[in-house]
Amino acid sequence: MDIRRFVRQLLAYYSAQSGDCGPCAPGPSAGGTSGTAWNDGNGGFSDVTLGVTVTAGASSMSESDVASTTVVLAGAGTAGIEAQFGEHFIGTNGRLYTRAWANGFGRSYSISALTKLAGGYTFLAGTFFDLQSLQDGDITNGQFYTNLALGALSLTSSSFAIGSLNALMINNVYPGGFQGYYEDFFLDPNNALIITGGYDGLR
Amino acid sequence: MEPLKSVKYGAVYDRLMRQNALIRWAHIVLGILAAVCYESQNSPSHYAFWRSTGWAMIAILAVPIWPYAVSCVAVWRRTTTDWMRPWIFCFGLLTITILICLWYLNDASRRSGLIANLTITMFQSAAYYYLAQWTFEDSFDNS
Repeated sequence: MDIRRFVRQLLAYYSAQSGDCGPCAPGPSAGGTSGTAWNDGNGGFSDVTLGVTVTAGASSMSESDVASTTVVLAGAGTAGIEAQFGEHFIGTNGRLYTRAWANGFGRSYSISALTKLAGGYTFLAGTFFDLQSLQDGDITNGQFYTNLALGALSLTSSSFAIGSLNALMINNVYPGGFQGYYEDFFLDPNNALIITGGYDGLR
Repeated sequence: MEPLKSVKYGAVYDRLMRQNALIRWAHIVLGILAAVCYESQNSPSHYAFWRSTGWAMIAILAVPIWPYAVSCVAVWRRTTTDWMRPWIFCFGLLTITILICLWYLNDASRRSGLIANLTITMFQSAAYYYLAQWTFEDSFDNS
């Protein structure tokens, strides 16, 4: 895949999303519902097949949401590096060594120590962006504290970090977090996965 | 090195490579199986609204395969000279997958919702991870 082309498409997609919803043609009509979704004139789409009206067509993520999600992904990458290469050492020549060979080629640094440091900074940065989101009203208190708890758990081990990543992502990006999901679920279990609160941010 | 010794080392190397391939493929196949069972119980209508919250959709879709991803991270680059433990690991992986698929196919799973399924998959991840640690304990360099 041409990575530059992919990045260009990605940037074009996000710039279209953050605009005034000009190109909001009935795009989200996949999944056997083709041709049934249309712009209802209020920034939303009606879908007669599904019997629901949802607001779709613009990004639900504010800048701080994007920042905190990016930080979560960075933390996941750090945890992945620790899980795969944590027992190795990196030399000043950039090569990886096992523990037994680590100090024979000049100075070397433990990958595990470096990833722990990076993980700590990632946690601080993520908490900072979450605080911003909280102040902006983009996330709820429940979302903030759940993120904080999962982040703190992730600091203890790379396997916890990878294991809890999915829960962290759902809490981070589902409108209203777990609490928001439960509200949707108790309202209508079948439609809880059709995310209707995407544009309001806070429900 | 004596020729006989090198043949022996070569055979061990081949065995470890086969073992690694078996374990990697077991994760991929069983992960797909679990994902199919899980997704078959959900209405696909929500796919129509990817555009609004794609990240949430990806995270929700990843729920059934996440334990396999966690286990893969633990075992991807590991082998063990033990004969029995890799088979016990594969047997454990298969047994837990069958149980979890039965749960996904049960109506109680759908009625319990995402959070209950997520909690179960987190316990599943922990089970796979500790099983992997036990299986490959001779390949961890913690000295």
